[in-house]
Parts: sequence; structure tokens; C-alpha cells
Amino acid sequence: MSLLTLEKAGLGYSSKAVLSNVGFSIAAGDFLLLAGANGSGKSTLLRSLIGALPLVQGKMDSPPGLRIGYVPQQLSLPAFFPVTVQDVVTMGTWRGSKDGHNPGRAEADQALTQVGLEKRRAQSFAQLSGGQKQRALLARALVSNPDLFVLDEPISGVDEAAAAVILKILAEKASAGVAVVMVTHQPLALADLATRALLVHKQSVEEIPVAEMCSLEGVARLWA
Amino acid sequence: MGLIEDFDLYWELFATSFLASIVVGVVLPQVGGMMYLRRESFVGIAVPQFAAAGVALGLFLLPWFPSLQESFLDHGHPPLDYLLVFAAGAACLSMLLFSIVLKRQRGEPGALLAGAFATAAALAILFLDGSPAGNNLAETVLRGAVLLLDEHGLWLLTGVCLLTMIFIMAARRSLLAIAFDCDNAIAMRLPVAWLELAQMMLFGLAIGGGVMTVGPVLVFGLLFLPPLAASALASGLRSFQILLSICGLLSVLAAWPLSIEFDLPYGPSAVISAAALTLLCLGLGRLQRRA
Repeated sequence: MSLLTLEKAGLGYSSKAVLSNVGFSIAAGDFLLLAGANGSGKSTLLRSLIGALPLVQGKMDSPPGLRIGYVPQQLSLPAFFPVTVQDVVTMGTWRGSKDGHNPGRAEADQALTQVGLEKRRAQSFAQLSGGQKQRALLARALVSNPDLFVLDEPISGVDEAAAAVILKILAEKASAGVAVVMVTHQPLALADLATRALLVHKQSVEEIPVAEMCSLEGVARLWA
Repeated sequence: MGLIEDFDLYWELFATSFLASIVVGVVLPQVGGMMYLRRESFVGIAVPQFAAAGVALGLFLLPWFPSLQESFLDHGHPPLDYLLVFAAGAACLSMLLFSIVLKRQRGEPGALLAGAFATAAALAILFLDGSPAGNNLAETVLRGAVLLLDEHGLWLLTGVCLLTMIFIMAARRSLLAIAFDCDNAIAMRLPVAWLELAQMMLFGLAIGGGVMTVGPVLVFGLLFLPPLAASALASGLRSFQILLSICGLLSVLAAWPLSIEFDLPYGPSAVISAAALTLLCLGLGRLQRRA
């Protein structure tokens, strides 16, 4: 089942397209890697997928009520915000779930346990390490039971243990039929999980075999 | 004549102003707190100045409304409803312009806001210069002489602040989600654009109403100092929002004895109280973190 389809889309800011003629679709259960050199337009693509940037041209279709769980780079969030880990995860409950049931404290606690932060719920979000912050943000996305996860470099600057927790949860979700779109600079670490790969380059997006992206030659091509 | 011994007399004289100070002490820190969380406190520096320029423009244009001017000159009651349109209009317009310009990221935001502040201050002076009828009124308002507020002014201020507070409380979750991570709020399909527009309008109304009735000095102080104090002690969002109003309330209450005992203008006295409280909270916050 297709969750999201882009057709001949131009993506960018105001009327200026950073990426042109973008076309691909995301189906349930896809684990899609998104890679490209710095400044190639990965974040533009990600922000367009979640609806933060209107399309410059073309169209994007998705079923009504599609639920997106977004995990930004933890560095993009304000460090001074007086917010506990519990507060951050609870933000994910602030829209009802698919079946009309409003997730609450129990679901937030469950998500915290899933990411291994149950003992840090009362701690300030700002005081967490990079990996812990990323896990808290994943818990926020988990709470609302999304159809599609969109993640911006969730394992960059994160220790191996935290990266393993994040990837394990995403693999479980993908096998349960949830789609995952992940921007990464570490495709080699994701070779076993990814089912599709998109390379963002030359002002457009090209689908390439996963084996090609998740190989040393592929990585060399990414940074070329 | 002391405050305690002659409390009844002071109450009779200043009850309206006292109640107005409580209203702004509770509500304006909530407005400033949201600006703080949105990393837009610097916008709040220029907005009250634009509201003051709006008041000055309203006074400058007063001769075009002869019945209002006549009533003002005869009875000394300022046409507050009329002036609110100018104060809130200027505040909302400036917030809208800042939002557009800052989103386009043209130029250094600090310089832009400093330039806007200077322009608004100059406009206020120029408009007042051409408005002899309102010069004295504007002078006392700009100095934060809240003691001159009449009952109609109190009702107007309370209405505006109540509307703003209801909005903040009703949309609390969505506003906090947008302030923390706007992209995630959009991904969650929250009505971000509408909420931001409503927030801009109501905050403009509250700041405009505050500037017009209690003056920009007190508005500045209550927008910026309580969020600093609250963030030093708060562990989470709920405690931050509760502390905002407690700090604002303590500041406006502490200023009354200070203002009466030492015969000081009330607005600046409240700001000094807020500054002292902020320093105390920053110190306590530091001790708390060490412990």
C-alpha cells in the first residue's frame, strides 16, 4: 500500500526549487535510506515530506489521516527549553491515535521503556547526552503510533549502544508494516535493514540499489 | 503616613491601579514566556515600542475625531478604546512584519530589531510633537505612571488580558509543541499557521493594551524578566508556566510599598522588583544545580 507519492515534484524554498523532477513513492514496510553530500537537499526533501515546505511544483499524494512520526536532529532543538524527558515524550500524545483513542501517560511510559529512558523521565532534556536525546525524540514519535517514520540522521553523533537501540526499534516497526525514511551519513551500518535507497544529488533524487549505497564504492560515490 | 496605617486611604485611591498591576503581573509574563520559548524575546523589545508609537499616532490623529478630543480635553479621560486600536494595531503589524522578515533570514536579526526599535521610538516622539492634546498623557504613560488608570481602563486591560490568557491556556499544548519543534508540530498536523496568526494577534493586543494603560516600561519588564527567573528554577513546562505568573505577581506586588513609601513611579519600581527577583532566582537556580 502506497503511503506517500511524489510526482514530478520541485522542492525548495519560496519559489526556488532546490530539487527538481522528484518522483518516488513510499509503501508500508519500506525501510528507505536517504543519502547525499552536505548541502545536496536531503533536509529540504525531508521537510517537504512532513509538510513543512510546500511543493514548488508537481504533486504529493498521501491517504487522508496519514500519521507521521518525525525525529529531527537533536542539535536543531533549543538547549534552554525548560522541558523534562517526560514532557518531550508526552508531546507525542498531543494528537489522538489512529483508533480515536488518546494516548496518555501509560503509552508515554511504555515508549520511554522501549528506548531505555524510563529512569530518566524526570530529568531535564537539555542535560541528556546526544544519544539519549535522540532516543527521547524517537519515543515521542513512537507514542502516536505512526504509519511513517521520518528521521533526520538519528544515529549521527550517537554512541553504538544508543544507535543499536534506535535501529532495533525501527527494524521492528518496519517488519510490522510501518514505513521508515531515514537520512543518514552512515549507510554501511544500515545494510542489513534498508530495503530501498535514494541518492540525493545533481539537484534531484535517484533510486539506487541498496547494495550500491551500502558499499564502500557507494559511499565513495556519495561524497564525490 | 505609612502604607499599613493608612491602608484604607491608599486602597480607595489606588484600588484600580492595584488590580491592573495584578492583571498584567499574571498575564504578561505568560506572553513573554511564550516568546522566550520561541526564541523571539528580541522581537518583544521592539513590539512595545511600536505599540507606544501607535498610541502617539492615535493622539496625533485625535483632532480628526472632534467628539473624542472634546471629551478628552473637557473631562481628562483618555479615549482608551480609540487608542487601543492604534496600540494593538501597531503591535500586531510589527509582529507580522518581523515574522515575515525573520523567516526570510535577510540580514542580522539583532541589527534589524535594533533599527526597528530606533525607528519606532523616533516615530513616537514625532507624533507626540504634533499632538499637544495628548502630550501630557503620553508622557505619564511612557513613564509607567499606572496610578492614573481609571475604571474603564482597568476593564479594557482585563478584557484584553483575559482573552489572551484563555487562548494561551486553551492552546497551551499546541503552542508549546510549536515552540519546541515547529517541524514536528507540522508533521503532527497541528494547525500551525492559524495558531501562529492567532498568537500574534492576541499577543499584539495584550502588549498594545498593556503599553496604553500601564506603559512600555512595565510591559518590557514583565515580558522579559519573569521568563529568565522562571527558567532558572523550572524543571519542566508546567512548573515554568506556574513560576512565570508567580514571579510576575511577586514583582508587581513588591513594587507597591516601594513606590508609595519612596514616592517613586510605579512602573519602574515594578521592573526593579522583577530584576531583583530574577537575580535571586538565577542564584537559587545555580545553587540547585550544584546540589
